[in-house]
Amino acid sequence: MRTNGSNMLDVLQEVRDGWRWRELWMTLGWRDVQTRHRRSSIGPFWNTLSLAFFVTCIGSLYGGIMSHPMSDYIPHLVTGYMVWVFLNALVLEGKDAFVGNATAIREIPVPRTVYIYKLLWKNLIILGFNSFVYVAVVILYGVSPFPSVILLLPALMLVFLNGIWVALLLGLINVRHRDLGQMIPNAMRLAFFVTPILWYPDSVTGIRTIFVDFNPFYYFIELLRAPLLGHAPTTLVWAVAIGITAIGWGVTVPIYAHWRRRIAFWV
Amino acid sequence: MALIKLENITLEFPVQASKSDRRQSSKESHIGGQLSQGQSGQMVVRALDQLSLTLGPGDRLALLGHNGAGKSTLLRVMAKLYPPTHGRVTVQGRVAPLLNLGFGLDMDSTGYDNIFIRGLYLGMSKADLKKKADAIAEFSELGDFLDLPMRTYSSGMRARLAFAISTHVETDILLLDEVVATGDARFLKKANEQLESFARDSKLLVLASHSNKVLRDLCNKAVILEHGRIKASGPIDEVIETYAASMGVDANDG
Repeated sequence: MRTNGSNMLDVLQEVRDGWRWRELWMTLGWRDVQTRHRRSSIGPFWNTLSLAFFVTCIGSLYGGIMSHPMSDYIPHLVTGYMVWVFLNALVLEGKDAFVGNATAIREIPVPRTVYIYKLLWKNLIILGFNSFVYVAVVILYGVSPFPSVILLLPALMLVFLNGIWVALLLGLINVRHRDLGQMIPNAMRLAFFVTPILWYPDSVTGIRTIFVDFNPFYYFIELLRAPLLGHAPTTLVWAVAIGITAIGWGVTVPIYAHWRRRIAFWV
Repeated sequence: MALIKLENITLEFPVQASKSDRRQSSKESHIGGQLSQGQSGQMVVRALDQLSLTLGPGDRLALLGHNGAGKSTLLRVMAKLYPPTHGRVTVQGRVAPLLNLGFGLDMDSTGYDNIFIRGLYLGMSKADLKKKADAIAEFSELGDFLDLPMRTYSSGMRARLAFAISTHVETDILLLDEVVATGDARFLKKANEQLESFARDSKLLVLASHSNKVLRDLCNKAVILEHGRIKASGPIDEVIETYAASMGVDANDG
């Protein structure tokens, strides 16, 4: 089994073919959102409620510790945390993209990107439910996100492009080496605290700036957080995000091309 | 136009299980594929061994063989779920596999919802499914049970629903693994009629089963698999005789 050009084209073809099955993954993604809160009376609005609860508690505590005015800290926290929940889910569910759909992979020959699009779609829906809190905060504190909020669309596209390669790569490795699946949640928990979500990027100095400057999560958080708060992400943020996208795809395509045929045996 | 062409297929499974300390038995085992050591000392199961087979429109093939002879693996190769280690697979036409009854069925959803989930997995559109849902419901004869969650169903009822969906999909090739046998006599008869009309439309059917009666009723060709190789092939009645003789049982049993 050798990696050659045609194998890599197969990967891109799979990425494209998955798109044709959107009726399937849209249905499955929406069902995933619903079934998580089955038999509860407010259903997916539990997402909204738990975000609101988190922001109220953490906001009033940390806003005081950080001695920032609430009108500034709460919008920063709600946007940053909402985006983090989204990115975190893309990574954690991405690693399970194949393991979690093992039965389907053994039973039905649909393009495997279907399972990735399903999780992207599901988390976009959850982001939608969470954005009710964002809208409430924006109105309450009089933050005007216009006109920069339009930049959210290209920013989301970029995040989705990264979501695909992350799931292809982590999903593939996790199928073969399940220890990765145990490690990633730990790494992500740490990443949450070292990424400027609860705190501000400009509040670190000296050597500690590496947690901002060399933290890929910072750039992706900022990419979505800035438009939500009405600023345009800086050129550096765009450049790093696009660079990570290019490198990520460049690494993933040959690796996935080489091992994709084995997935059905390993799941 | 339905076509399945397998040329010299060999399929080896890497086995990820830890090796047991059980002493190596010298006797060759009667069941399962062929076990051997791979390059890196890893265990490898050779499930299919240089197997060639060509099926065309109107063929209804029965797969016979002992447990672990490679029947299900062969169906999965035909469904393009398992890429073979060596050899070439050519499949023309749309394929609907029905390999696992539980698949694509969500136990907490109603039977009616499950028609949509499984149907979408099999490549139907929602619009199509809306048109066909009534026909599927009627064929399954589940009536009001379709509005209840699947977990209230018996295994026979699940089989009925799964079978009804798969045979109503617009497909050229239907792959069935040991499923029809779960239904009661009345359903078997119905399934039989459905599959016969399926075959009349020059479609292709491959069915693995241990029930000679089901195979005789539904199929016109048969192959016997043994340790991943084709041991015999030909018209269904002859092959069943051969198989029964080799197993030391009466062909009319079961």
